[in-house]
Amino acid sequence: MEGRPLDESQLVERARRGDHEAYGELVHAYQAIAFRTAFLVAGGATEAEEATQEGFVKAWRALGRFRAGAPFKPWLLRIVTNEAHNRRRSAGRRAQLALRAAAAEPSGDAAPSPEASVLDAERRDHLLAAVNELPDDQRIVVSLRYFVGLSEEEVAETLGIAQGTVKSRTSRALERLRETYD
Amino acid sequence: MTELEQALVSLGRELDVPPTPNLAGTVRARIARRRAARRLFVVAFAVAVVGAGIAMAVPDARSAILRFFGIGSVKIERVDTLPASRHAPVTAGLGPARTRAEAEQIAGFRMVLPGFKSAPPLRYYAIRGALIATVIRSGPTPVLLTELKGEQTWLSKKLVDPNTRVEPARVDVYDGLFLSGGRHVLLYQSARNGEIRQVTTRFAGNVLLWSDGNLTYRLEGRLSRDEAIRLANLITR
Repeated sequence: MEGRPLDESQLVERARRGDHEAYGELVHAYQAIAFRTAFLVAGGATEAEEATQEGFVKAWRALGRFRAGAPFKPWLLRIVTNEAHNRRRSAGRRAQLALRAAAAEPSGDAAPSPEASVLDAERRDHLLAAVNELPDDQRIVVSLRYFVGLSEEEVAETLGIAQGTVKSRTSRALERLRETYD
Repeated sequence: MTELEQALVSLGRELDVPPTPNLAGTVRARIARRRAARRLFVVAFAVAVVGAGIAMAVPDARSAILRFFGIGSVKIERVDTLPASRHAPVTAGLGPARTRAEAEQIAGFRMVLPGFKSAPPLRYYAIRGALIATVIRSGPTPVLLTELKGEQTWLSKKLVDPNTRVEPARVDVYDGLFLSGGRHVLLYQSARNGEIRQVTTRFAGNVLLWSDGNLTYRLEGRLSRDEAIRLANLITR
């Protein structure tokens, strides 16, 4: 394709008219954030991959109901999140987040001091444990807000709840986490 | 952003999230397959409706079984004369009541349930390796949710008389069918040593069928089309 790349709304419009290539570009653009979101909700790599794939297929089929001009990302993430919820419910387990192996080891780098790093690592471990202990509704809001990087408005759209509810859940979650962190 | 919020953002960067699989190719292939399947479904439905109309209008053809079509694991046939059937509870033919865990172990897969405002059902029913069911609304007008695994095993068969309405229905993004009116009969079949065995035959209420991959959902009860779809959307969600 020549000329400047198509922007999101053009890709969505073309996909709505049945253009597989355009939809493929949207999948490519959003698969990372969709998979991360699904993983944080479902808690397992297999479930996350299935949920993301199914979410993209469902979104394609539902494109006719997508409101032209609306942001695509939260609309897509809502579908993917629902899929991830279903899979977690079917698996009957709670998502437990963990640190990457390298991140879990205290750093041996010179700066900051090893003592400070160990302290940071401890605080980080406690913080993660506290996140894992949050009630599901609060943990998911925190995950989407801080681990995926969505705005409050996007979190609300993704979870299909009011923005005020996102605010209150975030606030309650931060209050609990502060007890561990401070 | 407070220090705690910054710490959370930083924590997010260190989480053990597996690398993103490349899904574009798989998704495109699935879309292409689904599009072909949907085209076939629409054509099959149209052909079946026209075929049923023509056959019913021609006396010689009335005794013939008007072979219809299937959705997931459920096969639908329009017949002139229904087999001998009885009115029976919605769980007839499904074996004894079990706990959810037992039923899922027998069926070999986990059941997808809607969120319940009150306590979820306690009694579940299963056919080995094939089917799991539960009454999601009890009382004088019970609603039975059945989930069947396998795409082309015809675990359940619906025989409908000429007065039964069979219409397409959409559940979330899935194609489905809504059967209402007239009399329709449900057969469960089980395959043993390659032989299909009829398990039970009973009259059924209105039924909504839809299929998601290799799982077929079936909602039965005294439900209008809209009520059934509303309930189905809660399950598919």
